[in-house]
Amino acid sequence: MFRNVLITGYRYLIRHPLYAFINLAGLGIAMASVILIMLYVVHEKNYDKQHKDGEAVVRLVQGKWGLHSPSLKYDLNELSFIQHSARVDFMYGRRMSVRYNEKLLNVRDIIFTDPEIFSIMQYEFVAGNKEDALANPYSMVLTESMAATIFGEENPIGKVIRVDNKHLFTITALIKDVSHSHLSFNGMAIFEDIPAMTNQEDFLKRVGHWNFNYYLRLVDDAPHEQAIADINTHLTGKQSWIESGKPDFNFQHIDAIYFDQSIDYEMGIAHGNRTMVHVFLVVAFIIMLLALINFVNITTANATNRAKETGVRKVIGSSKPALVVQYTSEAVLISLAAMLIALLLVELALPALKALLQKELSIDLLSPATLLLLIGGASLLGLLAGLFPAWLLSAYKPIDVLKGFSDRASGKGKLRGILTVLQFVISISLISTTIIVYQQVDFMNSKSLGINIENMAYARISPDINNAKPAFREKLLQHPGISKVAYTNAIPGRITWQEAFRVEGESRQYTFMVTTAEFLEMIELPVTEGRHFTNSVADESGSIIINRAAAAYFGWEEPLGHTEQAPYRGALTVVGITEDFHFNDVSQSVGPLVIYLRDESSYVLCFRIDPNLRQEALAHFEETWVSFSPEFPVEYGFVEEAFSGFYQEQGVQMRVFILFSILSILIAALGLYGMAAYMANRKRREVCIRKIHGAGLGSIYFMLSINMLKLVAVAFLIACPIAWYIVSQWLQGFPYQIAIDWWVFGIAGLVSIIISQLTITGQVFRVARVNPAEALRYE
Amino acid sequence: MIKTEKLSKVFRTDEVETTALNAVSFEIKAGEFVAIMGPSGCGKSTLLNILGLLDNPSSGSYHFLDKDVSKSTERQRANLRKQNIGFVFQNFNLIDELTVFENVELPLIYLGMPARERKERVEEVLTQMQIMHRKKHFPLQLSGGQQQRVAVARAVIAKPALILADEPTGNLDSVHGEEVMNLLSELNGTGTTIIMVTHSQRDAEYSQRVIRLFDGQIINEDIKRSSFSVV
Repeated sequence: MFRNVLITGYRYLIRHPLYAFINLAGLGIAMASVILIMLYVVHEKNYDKQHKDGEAVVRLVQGKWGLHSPSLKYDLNELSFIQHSARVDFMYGRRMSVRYNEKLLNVRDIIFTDPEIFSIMQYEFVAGNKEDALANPYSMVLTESMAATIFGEENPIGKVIRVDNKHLFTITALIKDVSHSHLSFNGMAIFEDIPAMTNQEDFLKRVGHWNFNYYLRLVDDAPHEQAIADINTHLTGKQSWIESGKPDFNFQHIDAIYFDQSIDYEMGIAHGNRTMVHVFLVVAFIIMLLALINFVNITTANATNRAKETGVRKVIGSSKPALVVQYTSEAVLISLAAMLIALLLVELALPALKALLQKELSIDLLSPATLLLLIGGASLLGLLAGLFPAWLLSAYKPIDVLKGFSDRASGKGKLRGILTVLQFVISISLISTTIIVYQQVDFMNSKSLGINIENMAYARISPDINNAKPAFREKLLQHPGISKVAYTNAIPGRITWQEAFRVEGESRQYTFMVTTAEFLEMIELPVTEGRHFTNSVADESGSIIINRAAAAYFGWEEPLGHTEQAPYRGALTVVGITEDFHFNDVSQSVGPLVIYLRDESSYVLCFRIDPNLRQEALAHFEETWVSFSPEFPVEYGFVEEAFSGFYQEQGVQMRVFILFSILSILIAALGLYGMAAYMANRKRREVCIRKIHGAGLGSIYFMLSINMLKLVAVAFLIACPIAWYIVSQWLQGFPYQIAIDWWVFGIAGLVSIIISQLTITGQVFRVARVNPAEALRYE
Repeated sequence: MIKTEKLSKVFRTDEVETTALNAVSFEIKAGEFVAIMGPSGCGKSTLLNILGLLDNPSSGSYHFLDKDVSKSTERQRANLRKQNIGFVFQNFNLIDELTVFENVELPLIYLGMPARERKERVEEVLTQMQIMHRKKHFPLQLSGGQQQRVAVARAVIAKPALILADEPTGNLDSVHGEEVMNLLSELNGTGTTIIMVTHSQRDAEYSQRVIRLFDGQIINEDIKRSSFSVV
């Protein structure tokens, strides 16, 4: 019996290639899209799932702050419910020069942390062990790939590397590369080595140097709410500069950090975009829905072709349930065949998607769980898609179908109309949303930052150059391709340094930027009230320039000229107010910013180059660097790139969204093509009769396309408010948004009309060319 | 074998009520060859559908094999059909996706017969119908006459007690039509009851009795020659 079902289904597909193609291609493309999307979603959802007892592992945050002072740890150690705490620094090891024998290279992302980190998080040791890894000063743990970069084939354990031409670190352990974590790094060193490395003796006692992540492991049965309350009570008054303030600490669960973007001030934390994951899930659902609609539409439209078979089988003795089983089995088999096509498409598309998303997506087709999931999923889908058409087909009465058949009165035409409208609603919504997403991202990309960062290169200077700043500057300026050179401690795009004032008893946090007058001149800082830093660094040590956002945020009556006492910095007077400019990416609103004038801590060099002499200028820079600082590999970037991380992420998401939108529209168009072919066939006889009575091509075209146009019109009316609502919700997530233009919906409607007409035109010509006598005989 | 009493069938739409059969009563014994004749729209096919258990009457009783089946459910009718009735249609109604062999085999599959037995049986019947050489062909590769022979083969494969033929020669030329009528006649000769709807006086000649219908009623019954009833 099953063989018979297989044979009939298979031969039916062979004999109806359009039907087969639309169903297989539609389902195949849809399944491939859904598999790819699910690979991405599962990848994103699996972040930080590797840590044992994740419930007990938390990051300490306070309000919108994720960073704390070095000394906080010693206060936390006094609390018995905190089993372990570890600080994680992302600043000091952000980039280091590493020498091993003859090899000299820049190494990024070495975190400085406490040895307790291994009791809080789970890292897989390849060599060494967690007890000894960070037990002695100047120990370093490397990831496998970083070890391979430095040592090649050599065993790194026990080897000594020279960091920043000064510090000797011993490699004590190797761990597997850290992926799938919000905390990603290439190596680990000891937090308490920072004072000696940076000549900051009081570093560990500092209470105001809020730049470090804190991870805690609580004792297993510690109730979190109580623990938070106890921490806040315990810390009240502990930190000198907030003695009268109330700590407002809270926990973030380890596996929630990746998607939680509520913390504004943090460093080194990788975040996923939960909205994007949800958007992709919705897109996956839409794609599958479209493919299912296609299947139902095309199968029911073709039901007339199968009606005779149903009739014959019933007459011969098949029962209705047996037929439902038969037709559903066929749908399941088509779905399984489509899954094979889908897997082929996934294999072809996966490398490109991985490259585009920069994510390690993979699918293990040999794993029984994956196979079960794919086969089970495809079968379920087949069942969903096939059940209704099967029920419909099996309901035909043999006496009706064996005497010539019509489904005009059966109501299925109405169902197909509704499903086609639904497809158009989805298509119009997708087209308009895609255009608006594109417009918004384009708007942010082209939004003026409010400062001039064009052709501005930057480099983090080495200690050698730090000791010879003026000479290095002079040497660079000798080249005609370099017009300006300035030192700063922060470049726009990556400013994360945080401090706080106490205003009316409350802590007012702000971002600060320590820089030189040359740098501010170079970026053309728009000071519109008060003045620039015009005096010497010593004379301006008590001066600050604030932005408009800060002026509003601090709430001072007369911001210009206001003097405020700041921890560590003493009395500070506002000498100038600048217009708000973007010092971080444009997806964030401009927050309060305070600018200090200093020279001593400027470790970033910026220089503006003439785009016409770009190569020569950069070559000159490299030569100069090597002559001043041979022990530190030269490395530079462009300030515009500091902003591009955001653009790249948004750009990638947009491209992927557009890609899947186009796929959805393609699947819908495929279904429409099938429907158009079906409609044209149904109207064959009518067309012939009309032709006999003198109808021209135009009137036949009108007759065949008017129904489709009506469906598009209905869909347009439904889709516009839906799409408008969705995009306006999405836009609310951006501090700077575009206005939604009405013409976007017009274009979406027009594209839908064009798609509908394209699908129908070929069919019209095919039917219109038929010799009337032939068609009538055929009927 | 078949007994109807005041069998009626009324078709209703929103606006129109059509009486297709009006209190039709007759009896057909096992082994008879009966032709049903009448003009278009007189209710011949409706009657045949009810006799073939494809449809239920609106009123009256229908006894098939001494059992009242006028109120049977679809499942009960399907069971009775597959065990006792074979159908031959004017337009053959073969499944285009199945080969000659597979089309003929179909009723045996629904009867749950093992594959080996099915093969033997199908080949036997195809040989008998002189269509064995075409067993791997698809219906659309055959002539009308050959298709109807396949349809007859399919109708007789399960050895039904009753064969219902609806205009079996309607789509055939005279030579092929005669072939099919001879086949039906031979089947009747082996004891199979045959009821045939036809417009053709010539085809009706093969039957032993003609029931004439007009406007849903029997207007007369011609007994042409004595049947060799086995009951």
